[in-house]
Amino acid sequence: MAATLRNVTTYDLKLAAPLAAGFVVFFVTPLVILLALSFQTDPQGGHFGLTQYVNFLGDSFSLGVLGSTLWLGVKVTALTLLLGYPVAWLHQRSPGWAKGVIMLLVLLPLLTSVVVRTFAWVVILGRQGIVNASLLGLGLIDTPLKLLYTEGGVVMALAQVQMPLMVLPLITALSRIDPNLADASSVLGAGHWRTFRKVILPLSLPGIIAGCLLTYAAAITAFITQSLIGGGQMLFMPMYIYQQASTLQNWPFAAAISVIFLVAVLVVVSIFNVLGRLSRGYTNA
Amino acid sequence: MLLTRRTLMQTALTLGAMHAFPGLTWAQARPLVFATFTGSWEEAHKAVLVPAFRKATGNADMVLDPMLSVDQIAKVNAAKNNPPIDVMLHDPGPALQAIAQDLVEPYPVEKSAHYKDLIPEAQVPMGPSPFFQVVGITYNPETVKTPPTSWADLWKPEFKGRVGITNLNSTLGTGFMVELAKMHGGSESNIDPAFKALEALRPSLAAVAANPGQLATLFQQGQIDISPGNFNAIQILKARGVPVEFVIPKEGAIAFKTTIHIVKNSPNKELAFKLIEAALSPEVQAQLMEEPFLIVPTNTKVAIKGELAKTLAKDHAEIAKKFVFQDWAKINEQRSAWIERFNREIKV
Amino acid sequence: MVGASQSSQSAQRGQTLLLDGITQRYGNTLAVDDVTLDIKGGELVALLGPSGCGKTTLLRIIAGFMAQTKGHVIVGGEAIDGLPPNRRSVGIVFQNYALFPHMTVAENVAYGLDARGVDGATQRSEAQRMLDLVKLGHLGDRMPRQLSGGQQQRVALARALAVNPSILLLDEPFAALDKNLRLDMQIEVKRIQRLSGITTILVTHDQEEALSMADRVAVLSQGRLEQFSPPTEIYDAPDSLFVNTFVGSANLLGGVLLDADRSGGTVQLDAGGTIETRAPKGEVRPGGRVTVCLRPEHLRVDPAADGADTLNGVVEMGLPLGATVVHEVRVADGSAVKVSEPRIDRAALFAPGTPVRLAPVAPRLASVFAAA
Repeated sequence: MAATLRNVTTYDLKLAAPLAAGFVVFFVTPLVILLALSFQTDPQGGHFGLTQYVNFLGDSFSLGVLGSTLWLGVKVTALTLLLGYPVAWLHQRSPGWAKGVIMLLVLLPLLTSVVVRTFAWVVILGRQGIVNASLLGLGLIDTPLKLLYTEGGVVMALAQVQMPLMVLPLITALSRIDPNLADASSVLGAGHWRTFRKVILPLSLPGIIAGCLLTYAAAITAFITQSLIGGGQMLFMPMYIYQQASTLQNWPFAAAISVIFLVAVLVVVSIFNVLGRLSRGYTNA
Repeated sequence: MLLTRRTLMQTALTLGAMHAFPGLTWAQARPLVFATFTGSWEEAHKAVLVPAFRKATGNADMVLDPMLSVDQIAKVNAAKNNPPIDVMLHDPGPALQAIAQDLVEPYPVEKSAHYKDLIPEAQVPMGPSPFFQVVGITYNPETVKTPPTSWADLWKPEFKGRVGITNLNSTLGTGFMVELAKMHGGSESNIDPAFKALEALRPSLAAVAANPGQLATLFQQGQIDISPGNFNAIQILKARGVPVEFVIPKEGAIAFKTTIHIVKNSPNKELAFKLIEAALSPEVQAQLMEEPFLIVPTNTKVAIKGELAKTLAKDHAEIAKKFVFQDWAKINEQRSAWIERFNREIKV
Repeated sequence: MVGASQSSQSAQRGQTLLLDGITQRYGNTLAVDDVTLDIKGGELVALLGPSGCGKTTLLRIIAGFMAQTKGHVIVGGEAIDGLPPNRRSVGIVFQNYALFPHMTVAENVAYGLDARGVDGATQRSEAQRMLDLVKLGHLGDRMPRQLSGGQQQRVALARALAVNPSILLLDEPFAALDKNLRLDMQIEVKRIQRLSGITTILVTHDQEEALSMADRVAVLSQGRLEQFSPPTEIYDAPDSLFVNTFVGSANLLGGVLLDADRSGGTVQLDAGGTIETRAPKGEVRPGGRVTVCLRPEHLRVDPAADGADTLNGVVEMGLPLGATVVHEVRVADGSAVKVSEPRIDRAALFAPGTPVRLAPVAPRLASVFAAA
């Protein structure tokens, strides 16, 4: 009996070997190379040191780029949560067929490429786009608003593009909440708002945190959407890295920026994770 | 999964050894690999250059592996002794980087049948230029009734909020900045006037695109009416029915040499030479000059005809007059500083 | 405020609850069909019926989770139809208890008080008092998941009672408990209900639970009220064939009504013999086909029986059930009849195939309904 069990276990580990090997070859190795590269003092190599990090961290412009990227993520995440929660809520409260329709609408963006989705936003936000055309048609504005190549446009487009990442965890979290809890709350005298605040919101916290985490990570690294909607003068970290690596061939600096970006993101992610663990602590009944 | 620890160790050791002693790897017989650019370049080369090469070599094996200049350099750099690419194609900036990093062979000029027929600017010993890219003014003829005639027209008040440019990541954006500098008394080594001019252009700017491809989108969406633009990119847009026109300003068109190089240590040097010869040949260049490619020839034996003759130049003499070539060796020296300055200063 | 004074007031007198002609329609189906129940203050009423009979719908209508199509819910003489659940002063214990998993036991109990704006100190003392009432005073700091099923149910009860509701609704509260615990909890709930004197509606599909706990039982079938009577009456004098068969077990025998008056009737059974019955229910006249319901304990095996009401049959099977013994007997018209008798003197079972005679233990026990 024991022998059989042990065999089964080792078999399982062997099955994981290709995955582990793939992980080492395609993830760990490049990361180590990246790290090594970031300590080169000049693009030609040779000397090692902290020059690149000093250059970045001592430069208010670079720090500004990092700050605005992290802040962009906060804005996108907040907007996505604000728009996504009602969608997930609606899904939860809808009859079966409507659930299917909402789910399809949520998933639909995932079935097209990010480039296509982003170009749709170019069309929507452009001078002759849907928004401007409607506002002009309604006589609310005289000249088209500048929406494309603005940060507001980037936030809006990113929020839509990343929406499934927020809504899906929320739907899962909400569907795990016993509907009797809301009923119980209301017969105990709580109105809708109190029920939401005291029962639904705290119990959906794991979903909110998971959704925020995914959205945040996706938003700040969304090179395509950031550059297509933001244009060439709005500099965020992914474009900054691309510029240094690709155009300027300054790989050590690009590597250092990447490492700093990675660390900054990891810090944010760990904060989310801690929050997540705290929230899961009391919601797993 | 019969991977034992021993086989894993052996594999790891072998890989490590190969990395430590690159000479150990043996050159394999493989087809000629030509790293062209993606998109319309790849199509043009597949349609014209590859058949010509096959004909010239009695059906030698070759592969098109389209990628960005930067990736070409990175790939060759990673395996200098046994490069995975035999022939590289570069814009002027990356070409100088590849040469500086010792990645390319000098072109065997004395063996070449066509080198001497190229226009002087195209005769580069480290890799001749089979094609030009031409940057002029692009505009929307539906909104811009009087065709612009000078780069200075971009500053006209009527184009307030209608002008598009790209940032300096692209060859186009950088070339435009150098042209601006020159218009205002600067040069490749004195970019200051260009930044001043750009400052003055700011109220007119509708968008700073992240790459030249975005300029096309911006025209399509009516976001901009006028911008510096690449002749070939505009032809593609025009073919799709987007209302755009291309005009060479009186200051001259900014011309970039696209150069083609034999990679150092290539196992297929002879075939690489033959491919480049084919690219320089009047037959291939004449074919590429026609619709839908409209690629500017550098071989003086090719008589300029068609759309090119209409929009760009009647003959090579006029090309010499109308095309402005910039000194990319000087540009490269300071480009990173310019990009940084552009990052910091140009906020629309 | 909400403390002892109010609950002692209600200790003797709960609110009356009148369900007045409640109808609930979903599309073309009637989930509840014109149900009227007049419930006295402090009464414990069981809504009994199979799943889909409309009992849960009624409960949800009383709680205010859904609005009825027709009819009125009247508590203490006042219609509460227009009020949302949070203003109905109704307490509810759900089948799965529905405790808030992210709050402690004490927070759960205090939730309703908090929603009513009661100050923190009172909340705590009142929650403690309610937990003491359900004998869980020492577990206030636990999380619900750390409690057993029975304990969770006590918390749910304490939470529902803490706001001193007019009506207490219990939705299949014992279904999730195992059999031994269930009886303890039934006794416990009944004790607390007596103590608080709160008018209580118990929704259940378990007839034993309904009969043992309720002051009166409302039997529902397909949205209609079949009978609303004290438990003994439900069992002994069912108003309908449905009640007779749903509550307890019954042998159904076909026959023809010979004679009937207010006090009883006489039926000629298809299986042979003539039987004295209770007065027939429903539209049936002498000479009409009827169904006679005889409970298994109304019959005995009697070798000496020779009266007009004797049934002849053959034993199919005998089951010793400890205190009782049950025989299944095939009678003349082919129907199988169960006979349940006290097992006196370790009497041996009749072997299958044994011919036996059956006789009613007393006259006029059987119910008679018009044949379906």
